[in-house]
Amino acid sequence: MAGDPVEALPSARWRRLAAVRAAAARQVMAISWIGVLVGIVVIGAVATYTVPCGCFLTGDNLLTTAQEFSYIAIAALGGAMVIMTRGIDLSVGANMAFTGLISATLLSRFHMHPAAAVAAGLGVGLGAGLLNGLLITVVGMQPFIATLGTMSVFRGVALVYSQGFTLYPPASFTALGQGHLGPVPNPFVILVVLTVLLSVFLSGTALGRHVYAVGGNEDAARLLGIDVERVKVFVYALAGLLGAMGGILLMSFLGSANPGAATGYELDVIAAAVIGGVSLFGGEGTLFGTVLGAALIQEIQNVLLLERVPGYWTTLVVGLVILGAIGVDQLRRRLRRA
Amino acid sequence: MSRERREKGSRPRALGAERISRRDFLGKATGVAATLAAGGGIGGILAACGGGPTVVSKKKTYTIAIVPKGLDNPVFALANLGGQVRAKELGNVHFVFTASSTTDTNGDINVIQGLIEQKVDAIGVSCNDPNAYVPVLNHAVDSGIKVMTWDSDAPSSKRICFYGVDSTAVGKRMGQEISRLLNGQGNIVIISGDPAALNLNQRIQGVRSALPSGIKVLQVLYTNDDIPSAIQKTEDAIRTYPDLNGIVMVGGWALFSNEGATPLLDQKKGQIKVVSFDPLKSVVDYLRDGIVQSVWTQDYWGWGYQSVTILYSLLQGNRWHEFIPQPSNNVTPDQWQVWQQRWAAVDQGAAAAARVWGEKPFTAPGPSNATGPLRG
Repeated sequence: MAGDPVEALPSARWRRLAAVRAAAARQVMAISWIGVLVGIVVIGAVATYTVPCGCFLTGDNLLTTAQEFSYIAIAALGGAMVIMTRGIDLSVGANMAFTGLISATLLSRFHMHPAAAVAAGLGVGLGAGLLNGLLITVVGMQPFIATLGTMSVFRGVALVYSQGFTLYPPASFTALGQGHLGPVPNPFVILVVLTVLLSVFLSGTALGRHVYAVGGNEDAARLLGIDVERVKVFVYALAGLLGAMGGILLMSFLGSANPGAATGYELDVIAAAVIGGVSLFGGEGTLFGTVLGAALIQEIQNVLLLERVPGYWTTLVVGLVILGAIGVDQLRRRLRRA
Repeated sequence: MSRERREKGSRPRALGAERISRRDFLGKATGVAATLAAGGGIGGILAACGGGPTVVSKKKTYTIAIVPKGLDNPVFALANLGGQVRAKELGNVHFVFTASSTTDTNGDINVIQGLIEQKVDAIGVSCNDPNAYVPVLNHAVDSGIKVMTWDSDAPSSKRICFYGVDSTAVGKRMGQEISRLLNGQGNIVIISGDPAALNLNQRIQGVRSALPSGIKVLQVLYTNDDIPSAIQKTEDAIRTYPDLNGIVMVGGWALFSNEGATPLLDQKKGQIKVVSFDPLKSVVDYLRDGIVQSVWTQDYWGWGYQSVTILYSLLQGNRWHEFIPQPSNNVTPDQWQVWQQRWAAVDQGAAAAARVWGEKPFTAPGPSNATGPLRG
């Protein structure tokens, strides 16, 4: 008799609590980069206390690590947007080497003004991206095939032009890639600015939202009156431009331009995007997540070295972490749907 | 991350041949280029047979191909110049320099296959892998082509001779050098490239064998031949081992950059002794500023120049010793100007480079330190 309310009370409270908890969980799970953020924090926390030199959580180590992943992360901003449209850009590593070589040539052989040489390199990168976009939309090639072809074309032109030799820009030009704004390395500053600007563009402009729409459902986007081809050309061109930024910054940092530079970076770019929660099926993901993805890969390499793990292990651990991040992402999607 | 080069040499030939991947694609593309280039050579032969007024045209024109590990490596670019210069000196040599665009065993095998099909007269190869090249090199020999290896050998193949260094021996000398610099006491790290590269592993083995008990190897780091990765690993190693006294770079990738890219290494100038490999142009600054104490050379020019000399001589019917040792010298900081001049000459083209790098062509059966049976 009195049993009813007595029993109902904890049950109702439990249900309310459960509902609140579930809502909170759904909200957290809706954040596509939550897995990679947890990964970065956990690895960082473990490293802070276990690294023998005790030097993980020092400004010097963190800032150098930030500098080192900036080149790939800048290129990955473009790569992520391409993947958001359900495309892929395999040519970005070759683009980085090619545009770096162009700018270095203009600087060292033609003694061009640094700003002009950088602008020319960026222009070539933009053109390279535009070529990808046109091959995919106007010619109608599959993105994988088109960019596989242009990857070889860009790398090939760089090889033919340089005859395999390394080119060295004037030492003064290294100020761009090696310089700092306060304590923060220039490439990382540029990465942060680009990430903010492009994130605002993606979520705050019509064209930006169309990027997601095209990737989410191309036919629906077309029915909604979105010029799908125009969006794609734009995204590939932007990816070319961002690749060139990464490539020129890398060249400036190294103080050398080699036709074999940035080999395989296209895969790092894809890994960063996917780890950061960008779906290979398009229509989903954030640039912030992509940057975190690139940061995680670099953090692992840094921590393994600081932990004095034998060099043979690095590749294996990076691979496992990529799989782990994707596993977490799958779990996240399932929980969100539940 | 998974860089292309990481897998080189570790994959069985048959598996690699069946897999369609970017490397095959590139390899085939380069193979076609080689074919075209060699075709040009045959055209040259026909033209020569047509009978011109010059002395050269009365002799047979030989097509000699030099195949480096990859085309994107500046040390091999110098071999190209050396080969070109020697071909011009000889007069009746059509020189072909070709390989896969980046270091890639399977791609290079495809390129060599293309050269065999084009019936070039002689091939000189730098092998990524001592075993993977055996079938294709034997096929070339069986097709009547004169075959030698340089830089990196495939000893179990039918190739006639090898021009290169004993990597273990050079490693040993590098180990002795770091011991001397550290007075036999201290902690070092070794920095390498591809964990599967035979010559690098032999250099590491050599370094280890030469170290006295007072020198401890804290870690061996692999950079996969990637310059940014090499810089990161070098800087991280300095950070993680406050008691680090020396670095032995069996491949010098971290120094193929501008000094500003390695601030920690620069800061530790004098405190950390550095022994490295390959004095490329950017390394000259590190030597000049005393950040690096010792850099070991290879005969970049001779890989092309002497290989063409030897192959041409073999085509004339001469016999050579099987092992022709290549000099490997220690460049110390006081020699930085010599190397600066050398690289400046390369920028001015083949003729200027030939004056500075100038080598006398070997004569059969090889220099006095050559060993092994006479073969032809």
